[in-house]
Order: sequence, then C-alpha cells, then structure tokens
Amino acid sequence: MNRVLSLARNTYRERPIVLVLVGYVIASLLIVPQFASPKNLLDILVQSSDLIILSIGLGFVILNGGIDFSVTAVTALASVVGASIMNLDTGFLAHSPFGFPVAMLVMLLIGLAVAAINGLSVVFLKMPSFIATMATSLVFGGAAVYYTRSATITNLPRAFTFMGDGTVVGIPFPIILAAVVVLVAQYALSSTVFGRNVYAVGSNPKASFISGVPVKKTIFILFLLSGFLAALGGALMSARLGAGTPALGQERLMDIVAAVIIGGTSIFGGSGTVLGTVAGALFITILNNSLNLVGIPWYMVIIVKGAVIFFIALFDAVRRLRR
Amino acid sequence: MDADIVLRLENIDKSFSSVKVLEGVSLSLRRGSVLGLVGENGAGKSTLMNILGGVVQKDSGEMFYGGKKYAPREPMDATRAGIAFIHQELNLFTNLSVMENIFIEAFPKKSFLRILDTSLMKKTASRILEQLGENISVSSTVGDLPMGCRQMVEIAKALHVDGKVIIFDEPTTSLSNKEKDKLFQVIRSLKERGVSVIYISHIIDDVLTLCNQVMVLRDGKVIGTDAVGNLTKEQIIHMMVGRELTRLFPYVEKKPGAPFLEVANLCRENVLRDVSFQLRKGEIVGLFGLMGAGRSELARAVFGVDAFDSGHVTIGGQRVESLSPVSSIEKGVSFITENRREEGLIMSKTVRDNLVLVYLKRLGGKLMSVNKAEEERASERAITDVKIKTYDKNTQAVASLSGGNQQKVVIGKWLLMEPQVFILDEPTRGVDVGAKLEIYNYVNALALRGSAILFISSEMEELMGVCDRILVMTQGEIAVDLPRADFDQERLMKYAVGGKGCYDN
Amino acid sequence: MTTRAASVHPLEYFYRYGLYFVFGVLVLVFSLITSRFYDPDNIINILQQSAAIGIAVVGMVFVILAGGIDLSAGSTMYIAATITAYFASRGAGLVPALLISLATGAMIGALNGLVISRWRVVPFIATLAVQIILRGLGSAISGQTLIYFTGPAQDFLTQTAVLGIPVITIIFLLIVGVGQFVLVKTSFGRQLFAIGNNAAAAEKVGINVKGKLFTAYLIAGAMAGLSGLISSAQVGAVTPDFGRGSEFLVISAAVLGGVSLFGGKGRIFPGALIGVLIITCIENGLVLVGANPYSYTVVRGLVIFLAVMVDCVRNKGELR
Repeated sequence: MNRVLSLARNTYRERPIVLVLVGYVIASLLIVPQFASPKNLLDILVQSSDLIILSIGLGFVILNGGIDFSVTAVTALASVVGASIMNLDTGFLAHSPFGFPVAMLVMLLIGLAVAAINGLSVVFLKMPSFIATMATSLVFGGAAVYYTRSATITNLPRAFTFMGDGTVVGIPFPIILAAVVVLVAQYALSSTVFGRNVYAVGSNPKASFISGVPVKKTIFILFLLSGFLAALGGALMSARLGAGTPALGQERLMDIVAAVIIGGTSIFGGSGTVLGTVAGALFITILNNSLNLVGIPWYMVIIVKGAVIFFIALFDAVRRLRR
Repeated sequence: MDADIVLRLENIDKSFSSVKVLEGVSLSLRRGSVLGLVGENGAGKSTLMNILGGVVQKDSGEMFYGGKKYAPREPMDATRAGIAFIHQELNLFTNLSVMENIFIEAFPKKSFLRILDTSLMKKTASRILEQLGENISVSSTVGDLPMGCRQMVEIAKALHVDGKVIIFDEPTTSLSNKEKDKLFQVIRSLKERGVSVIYISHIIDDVLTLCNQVMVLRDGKVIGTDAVGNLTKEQIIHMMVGRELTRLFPYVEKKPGAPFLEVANLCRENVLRDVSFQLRKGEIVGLFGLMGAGRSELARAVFGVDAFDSGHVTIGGQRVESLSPVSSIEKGVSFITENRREEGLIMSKTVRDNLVLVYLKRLGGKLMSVNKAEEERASERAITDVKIKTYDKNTQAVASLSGGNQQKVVIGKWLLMEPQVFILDEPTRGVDVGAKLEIYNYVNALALRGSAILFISSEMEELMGVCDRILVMTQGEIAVDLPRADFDQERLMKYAVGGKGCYDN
Repeated sequence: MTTRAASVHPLEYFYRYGLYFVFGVLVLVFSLITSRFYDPDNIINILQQSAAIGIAVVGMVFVILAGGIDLSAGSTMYIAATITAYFASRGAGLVPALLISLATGAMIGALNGLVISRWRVVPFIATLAVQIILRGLGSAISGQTLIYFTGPAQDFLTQTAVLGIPVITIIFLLIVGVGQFVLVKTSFGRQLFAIGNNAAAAEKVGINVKGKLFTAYLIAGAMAGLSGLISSAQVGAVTPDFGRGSEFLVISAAVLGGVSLFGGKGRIFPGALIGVLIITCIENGLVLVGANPYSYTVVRGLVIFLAVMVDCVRNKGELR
C-alpha cells in the first residue's frame, strides 16, 4: 500500500496529468456504462491516433518554447492536394498504380515545405513563432480552400483508405501508425544526441549555443518534424474520412495544443515527454468521446478545454514566479 | 555635527552568506565636493553603493543624510531622498524624447483632462540642460543621441528631482575623450551648485583630476581616505593592492611549447582595440584587468560567441574562417564563461545532462543514438575527476547544487573534451577556498599535459600565484605582457588603471 | 538648439515612409484598374468597412505598444455582439447598446490584464486560452444559432449620417483621434511606450507597470467589444462564426501600420489607421476587380507575413 501511495505522490509531482487521466477514466467507467465496452475503447484508440501524431509533432516545437499554428493548415492542404492526385475520377494520376505513393509523397513534401518556411522565418528572420506560423496558417489554409473551391474530393483509391479503416494482424492501421510515430519520437527524444539538443535549446538557448549545440539547425529541424507529422496526420485523417477536404482539422487546432500542454509540456520550453503528450491526446479524445455520450453540447466541451489550458498555463506561470 | 556634511556612513558591515563583503566602512561626504571611490573588482564598491541606494540592506552600521537618520528600504526611497545613481546601464527609454525621459515618473499635467503640459516640460527641461551647459534639444529622441548626451540626460533626471548626491559608477567607459571632458566640466558645475558627487572609477588619473577626496577600498575595508592633494597615484595603487600575499598557490614549473592559439589585431568598435597575443602549449597565461577592460569580450570574441569587426584567430596553425562555438570546440578549444547561471549551465537540467552537453557529439553512434553506457562512464569520470558532490547525478538539478559544485560541473563538462586550449573566465568566483585549490590543480594538470590555458581573473593574487605570464588589459587594449619573474602587485595595477605614465617601466 | 544625432541608416527611410508609399501605390493601382475605386461613395464605403476592425486596432495598439498581445479580440467581439444584439433586438437604444458592448469587452480585457500583469502568464497563451473559452461561451449563450441584430440601436447606427458622413465612420474616426491623443498627450500613453521599450527600467524608475498593463488590456477589450457591436450592427446579425480569426486581422493592421510587435514603437494616427485602410482597400479592391473570393485568405496571410517580416528585420528580435 505504501508503495502505491508513494508512486501516486511521485506521479502527482511529475505527471499530474496521468493521475487526472486515470481518475477521469475511472469516473467515466462508473458513470457511463457504455464507456467500458471493448468496442468503445478500441474506437477511442483509433480516434486518438491522428491526434497523437499531430500532437507529437506540435510537441516538438513547443518543447523549444515556440508554437506552430500552421499544423491544421498543413493537414488541410496536404489532404486536398493529395486527394486531387489520387482521386479516381479526375485525379492527376487517377488509375495509375503510382497514384497512391506519389500522392503520399507529395503530401509529406507539402508538410516539409510549409515547415521550412516557418523554420526559416523563425530562425533567420527572427520572427516570433506565433505570428510566423499564424501567417503561414492563413496563407496555406487559404490556399487549400482556393485549390478546391471549398469542395470536398472523395472517391479515393482503396490503397489509401486502407490506412483509415484497414487492419493488419487484427490491429487497426491507424493505431499501428500512431504507435510507430510514438516509438520513433520517444527514441529520438530520449536516446539521440538530437533529442538532448532539443531539451537543451528549449531550456537555455544561450548556454546551449556556447556549449556547441547547433541551435539554429535544431530549431529548424523541429519545425520540419512538426510539418512532416502534420502532413502524416492529415493523410491519416483523410484516409479515415475517405476524402480530402480543406476544412480538415481546422477545429482540431485547439485539441492539439491542449493535448500537448495537458500532457505536461511547458510552453516555456525545455520540459515535456512524448508519453506525456500521448496521455494528453488520449485524455482529450476520451473527454470528447465521453462528453458526447453524455450529450453535452460541443461548446461546453470547448469551454472546458479552453479553461484547462488556461489554468495549466496559470499554474505553470505561478510556479515560475515562485522559483 | 558639521552642517556641511550631507552624507555620512558609519561602520557599515555586510556579509553575503558568511562571506564578509564590507567591514567597518565609514565615509563622509561634504556638500559640493567630489569623493572618488577606488578599488579593485570585488573590493566592495558596488555593495556599498547598493546599500546606499536601498537595493540591499546593511547588516550593521548607521547612515545619515542631511543630518538625519537614513535607512532606505527600496530604491525609490533613495531616489525620493535625493540620491541619484548614474549606472553604466542607463535607465533611459530610447523611444521617448529627452524631456519625456526626465519627467517619466511624474509628468506635469494641466486642465481637468490631465493632459501633459508639454510647454512646461519643455521649459523646465531646457532650463536644467542649460544649467548643465548642454545644447541638446529636449524634443529629440534619446535613441538618436550618442552616449555622452544620454548620460547628460540621466544627470538632468537627477537634478530634476532635486538630487543632492549623485553617484557615478564607471561613467567614462563608453565615452569619447571629448565627452569625458564635457562630463568633468558638468561635474565641476554641479559642485559649484552644492551638489555632492561620489565618483567610482578605476582610472586613477581621472580621479586625481576631478575629485576633492579619494577613498580606497580593499577587500571590504577602507584602507585610506585623504584629500587628493595629499596622495600620489603610486600611493593610491599601493593602497589598492598592498596586501600581504599569504596564500600559497600550487605553481608548477613547465616548459611552454609552440604557440597554439594566436590572436591578431582583433578589433571591435568601442570594445577591443587591436588586440594581439599568443597562447603556447603547456603554458598558463593570466589575463588581468579592471571592470570594463574588455577581458570577457575578448574571450567571447576569440571563442566565437560574439562577433568582431576585424582581425583573425589562428588555432593550431590554421586560420579560423567563421568563428563559432561549434568550430572552436572542434578545434579543441573550451570556454568557461563568467556567468555560470545564465550561460554556463542549464539550471533546470540534471548534473549528468549538463556534464555531457559538450561531449554529446562524441557519444553519438549510428543514427545519432546516445551511447548510454559511455555517457554513464563519462559523467562518472567527470564527477570523480572534479570531485562534484551530488546525491544522484541522474536526478539532481544543478540549480540545487552549491556555487562551488556548480562551477565544478561547468569545469567538468569542458574537461571531458580534453581541450588543447582552455579559456576560463573568472573560474573561481563564488567558489570556496577548498574548491579553488582544486581548480588550480586541474589547470596545472592540464598545462602539464600540453594544453594552453588563458586564465581570466580579477584576483591578482591567484594570477600571480598560478600563471607563467600575465597579460594586463585596460580599456580594450593589452597594456603589457609580464613574465613571471616580473610579477609585482603595484606594477600590474599600474598597467590596469592605465593613463599617462604607465608605459615607462 | 543643436542635436548631435547618430547617423540614420538609409533603410530607415524605407521603414518609416514605406507605409505611405505602399498605400499610395495601392490606391493608384486600384484606381487605374477601375474608376469606381475613387468614387466618393466608395471612399466612404472603405471607411465604413474599416470601422469595425479599425476600432479594435486602436485598442490592440495600446497593448502591443506595451509589449503585449491580445489574441482574444475576435472572441471578445463575438461575445459582446451576442449579448448586445440580444438586448438591442428587444428595444435597447443606442446608449445602452454602447454601454453593454463596452462593458462586456472591458470585463474580458480586465481578466486578460489581471492574469498577465499580476501572475505573469505569457500574453499569447493567456489570451489564446481566453479566446477559446469565450468562443465556447458565446456559442453556449447564442445556442449556436444566428442572432438577429435589429431594433432602434441598429437603425440609428446604420441609417444616420451627419453632414453626409455615416455615424459609424464618425465613431471610428473619433476613436482614432482620441486614441492617438491619449497615446501622445497623456502620462498613461507615454508610460506605455516606456514599458514597451524597457520594462526593467520602467520598474526602476517607479512606473506602476502592472497597473498600466492592466489598463491597456482593459482598453483593448473594451474596444474589441465596441468593434463587435459596430460590425454586427452593420451586418444585422451575429453568426456563430462571427469574429473568428479577427484578432489576426487586427494585429496585422497594426503591424502594417508601423506598430512593432516588440513594443515601444508606433502610432495610431496616421500609422495604424493607414494599416487598416490598406487591408480594407486590398479586400475592397479585390472584390471590385472580381477576384476569386477564395484568394482573400491567401492574400491576407501574405500581407501579414510581409508586414511582420519587415517589422522583425527592422527591430531584430529574439530567437525562438
């Protein structure tokens, strides 16, 4: 019993979110019986997979003390451009076997391209990341709308939509994809030189610079990762939807930011973990899911999420003041 | 009580965590006179002024201002009492006009709408500036003014709030000669108006020209106070440094090898003036100087942290094209900065993370993965080599270590790189005696193994104890390169304070 | 009286006067493309269209000058509009409508100000969080439906004109004038500039930084509220998406107009005013020219990007 208590106390100090998550899950189980059905739980995991991928991407940038508001614009743009290539009716590579792979490649490249613009603006032009990424968000989000005249492109090849609803060895593909991303990200952050550099730069860029850490390169790569994962997440979302639409993900930006912050990544940079972000993403998905089941209107959910971000930021700030 | 004495301090004591910084300091300042305050770095001048200004609280002693007890609890108390500070970092707003800066805390308003009374501001501000003999337009933006004029604005601010005592802290470091003359003129006119001045500077020539009295501080104590007429420059220098050298330093005889790091004609406007020197393998070279001499700036320029205007650095026979910390580290240079809290350590990270920060590159295997076993070995090695006291290197944040241990982490971090050139900027500052000795030993060991060491310090004693030769820097230039045989306290200080007559020995 | 000034970099002239140059070019280009552009009716039209954003810009400038930012402006507009529309449609007159919108905005601004000045929460996260919460709150209040803005207040605002100039434009220009006046001629304004330039020195010199910051956010909130009233009155309704993303337009207009994101620099008149006009002109021009409506966001984004880029190059900032 003592060990459980001390474990709980340690977790509370380091990762309060885990306790909150566990508590919430237990509460949900008790209050809403449908919650605990295996189908629902699996559903939740599948639903959270794209959020997980996107949050990990954004988490990289926030770890550095910046922010990337353009992730949802990237998902939208990637999805429509990719769909326009793959589309079985009018797509550029409509029935070619290259349709799917080329489209995927283009989508990822878009993510990298937008990220490169963000990265260059922040690193070389010294623009504050929140404005730079907001601007790119407008430009590329608008471009997505412009590209399709606000229409949705459906009828995508089976190879692509398989990503959304297919299973491999009985496990739904989205979960596999998310798991791969989590593993790679976790490895990168905890066991590579790059990962150490990220934490160092996020905590104290000046000291890192003097200690020989390639600060500019690190920050730039972080943006690239965010863009890449945003595109990947966008591809997954499109696959599950079975369509490419410019509205893809626009409402999810807040969810992504919330997942990262709730997961324990400080907006000041320098602390945060992949697993924490995953927990945050799961929490948000479960929040959405359970509130839906109970019938709480979406705007209440928004208020709750906004309030959570608000109080966590407040808490973080007050804690810094004390130090 | 002498009615002419506007400020009197009696027996001020102050300690910072068991280190006595001021002991029994007394001074008295007459109305309309200029008191020069002289002393090495760390002699206690800033602490004394901070106590006077209400920034820190004295431990014991009394202060009297205008005959009445004076005990400021915060800076605003001092300002309200009429004691003004002109620091090196001016508290001016570069985007506002001169008159707005003067009135910034209390603008004169007119009419019920509380609009700024600009005509009154203009008149008053112009009057003050005229009294200072200044030609500056009060509507001009401070950001457009050169340093000399900006200082005048600060003085105007002080006069505006009816300042009776103005304290200048190293005011001439960023001034041209013309501006300096102007400043002295202004101070003299202040004297005539009954304003008292405390003038802190290490340029003794200036102090002798300007002040009525000089007070010399050393190691927190007043060594002597006398009228300027009764003191010569040599006497003042003697008072500044004349201590008995009681401490023993571990010096090791070594034979220096070939030059490894060469700096040629390094220039940076207002900071470095054509600096050239060499570091030879197996040699410990000290760099001495007083506040503002440019030592840290030189080190940072050589390592690649800050840019410079012209000149070049050659390491191991190869001229370095684009200097940066990354390239310097690759060439075998290590650099310990002056301020370990901001630039030397990542305070929130663990001991281990800080120790391996520079060494990381060597830990990367395929896929850039960190060789955890090697990391463990390296950090353990650093801890034992430098004797860091930590209860768990993997979880303890460096923020919770003692100052001495923190410095050891910084040293340990760089020692892992087995540097061929090691630049240390004030490595023993804020470190206890035992740790200091250990640091001298590492430095010696490194030198014996063939590294070239540049040891920057304000403590003359330790430099004289440990170094093979000492470079003295003053006002951006290297004044002299003294070999060990010629080490002498007063000589070193003479070069450090600069001015006329210092090059004829 | 002589001044010994430091030499001015030639690029500075571009930065200082570039704004007017751009504005001039814009007006010229659009005038050449279509003669309808410089029609007096169109000019009034442009002013009318600029009013809502312009009023919010005035408030935002106070905050940005002091070194902060307010990302909640759009949601503040939404909430204020929703609440005011509700009362206005039930017969509330002009003055109550004005008061309600100002008060609502001010309360939100006060919340921002408190959190930012007292507890030092980073402005962009604090106002971002408030923006999210308010958007949800607004949806809750409005029940997610369209709310009509009718009634005597709306009639007055949209139909009255003084000397041929519509009331809304008058209010807009009045606020611009008062805002600029406060910035230049009051202690509060000058101290805001000081805080934005050197917050540390401001504390040392005895300025009540916390108090001034709080007031700045209060004003920004109030102006956003007023802006919501004006905008919804013009349209006659409050959609669930009302004001979404507006803060971004507001910030860009300010930056375009020379108000530096780094604090301590800028003017409402003529600077920010021109910034607003440029943005409205671009939209106005695009419509007249018959451009693809989907290109608006893209153009907006590009304009913002360029404006901020120039700001950053001019006033080198931190690396993040």
